[in-house]
Amino acid sequence: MSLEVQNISLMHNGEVFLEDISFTATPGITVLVGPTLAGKTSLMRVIAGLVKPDSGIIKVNGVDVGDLAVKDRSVSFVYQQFINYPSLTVFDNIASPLTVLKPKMTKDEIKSRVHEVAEMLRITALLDRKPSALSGGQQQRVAIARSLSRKSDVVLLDEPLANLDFKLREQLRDELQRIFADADMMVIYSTAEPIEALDMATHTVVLGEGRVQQHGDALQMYANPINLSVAQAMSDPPINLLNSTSANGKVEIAGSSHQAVGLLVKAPSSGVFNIGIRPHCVKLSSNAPDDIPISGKVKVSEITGSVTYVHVDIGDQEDVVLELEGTNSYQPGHNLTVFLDHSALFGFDHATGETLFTPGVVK
Amino acid sequence: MKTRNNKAWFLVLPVILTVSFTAILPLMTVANYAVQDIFSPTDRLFIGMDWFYNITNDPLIFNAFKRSFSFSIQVLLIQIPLGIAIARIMPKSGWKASAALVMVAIPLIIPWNVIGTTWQIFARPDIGLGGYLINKFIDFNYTSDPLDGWILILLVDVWHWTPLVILLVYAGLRSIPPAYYQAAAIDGASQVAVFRFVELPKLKRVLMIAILLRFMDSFMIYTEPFVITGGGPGEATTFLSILLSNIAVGQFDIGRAGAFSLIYFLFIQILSFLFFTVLTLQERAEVTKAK
Repeated sequence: MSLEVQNISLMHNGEVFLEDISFTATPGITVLVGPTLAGKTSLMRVIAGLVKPDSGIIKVNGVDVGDLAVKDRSVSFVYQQFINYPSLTVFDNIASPLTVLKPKMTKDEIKSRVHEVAEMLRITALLDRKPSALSGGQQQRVAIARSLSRKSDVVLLDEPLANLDFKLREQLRDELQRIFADADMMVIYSTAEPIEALDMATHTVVLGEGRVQQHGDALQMYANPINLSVAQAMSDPPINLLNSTSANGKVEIAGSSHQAVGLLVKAPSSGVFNIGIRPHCVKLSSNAPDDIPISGKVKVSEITGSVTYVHVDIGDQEDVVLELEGTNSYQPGHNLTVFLDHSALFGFDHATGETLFTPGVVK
Repeated sequence: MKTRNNKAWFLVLPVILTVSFTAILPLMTVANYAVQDIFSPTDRLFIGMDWFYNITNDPLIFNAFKRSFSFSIQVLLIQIPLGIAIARIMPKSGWKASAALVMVAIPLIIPWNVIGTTWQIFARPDIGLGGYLINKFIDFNYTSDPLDGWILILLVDVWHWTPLVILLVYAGLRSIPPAYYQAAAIDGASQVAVFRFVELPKLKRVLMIAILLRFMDSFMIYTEPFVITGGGPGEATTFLSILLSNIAVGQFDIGRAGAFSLIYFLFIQILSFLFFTVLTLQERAEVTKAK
């Protein structure tokens, strides 16, 4: 069982939406990660058959489905908005895709299937209600139940948790993993949040500007992004980027010069490049002599409860954000020296964004 | 004990004063006339509720009421489905959509008496193009046949006001996220099912507004029948408004017309309230259930 996406390209009014997209999904969850306008929704619409690509082939279980009508593709789609039929009860909503299936299902078969799926999504008590009488989380559960009821080969989930609050998102994400773990179907899950790819720890495809930037294991891509675009897509909070210049065995970062030791020896021998470091690898104290000190003034502290993000202005219109555990309130203007963990640095080519060096391990 | 801040009343005072002068005072004047028999500006007699008894027992008024009600129901039965059908087939984007919207809106911006005069001439069998053409197939003369008169007024109202329904429904349809249509396509839903299970429930609110507006407006129709048929042939198009104006301006029976106006006004209020209550009943039940 497989879903093969081969060289899919899509243009609209001269604008490139998708460019030569290829990957293969097997039963289980494949996560599409990318920022807004990366092409996630367009790709899903192409897979569903809602949009015809300009070129490329979609194969399900080895069969080209390009000429099949949308309803005949054995595809289900869950949207970011909670899409259910407003005038139908939850039961009828879940049953709706079953009523048009061929060969026709009997009423008892439909009833039993609806109850099975409702049980799975814990909405059995809501079967008599209409969608308008449900909370956002419950409505999305109904939409997911609708997508599961017909047992499609491919289930497309387009940022299904984006409109839910944080707690519901966490809860439903865990449940989705449980539900799809044993399901014999290819689930394509799109998201702008890398945490979802890392949490599901499965096959991940990073999209950017309509192209596949990298695909493979989520943790591998987190540790070894092939370019800046992937590093940014796989970092939340965003990765810090610092303009750097190297010359004569030294690297200049934020106006001060440092010996090119540790990972910095992999920097180009001369010229401009970008150093990347994730906020949790920026420390308030040095753990090793090679850690890089940078001084600046606090701009703002964002306290979330469990962590605090401190934005430090290091001059030249550059900021470094560090993630500290617990609540730490630094007043704006407070002088602060932070240390970049020398073993957690990424290097990116200034012009192309190609990765020059990475820590190589998950940091 | 809680103290109340009544300063807000000063802020709404201008609105209260304006509404008093524009609505309440004229209405009070009518209420004042309704309890008097006025022979001349200086010679009037207080008669209490007599005019109201008279009005509610007058077969002429009862027949006009039946005509107005029947006309409004026919207007709704034609304009709502027709408006939905046209809105559904209108272009959705690009210059064609803009052109279609402008075309559709044209009848709405023509003065009502101009519409009446235009149709009065257009439908005449002797000098009107429409009347001439239709008489090639069937006998049609709205000046002598009561049914033809009724059909013409209905046709004019449909031509004039269906665009309002179209615009409301068009706006409602455009507000439905494309994802609903895509989900229905993936489910394999037919066009009828898409209309029934996606569009109709989503249009409920705009349709409610369209039904209320069209009911109230058509129940008060005056200019078109006044210009085109003058309430005839016979009394075929003598709606409540025409009859009221005949009593007030034709017979100068101000007291009776005042009582008639108040009953007419209250009736529209009550019917609109009933429409609104029935149409929102299900929605309110669902909200209560959700709580």
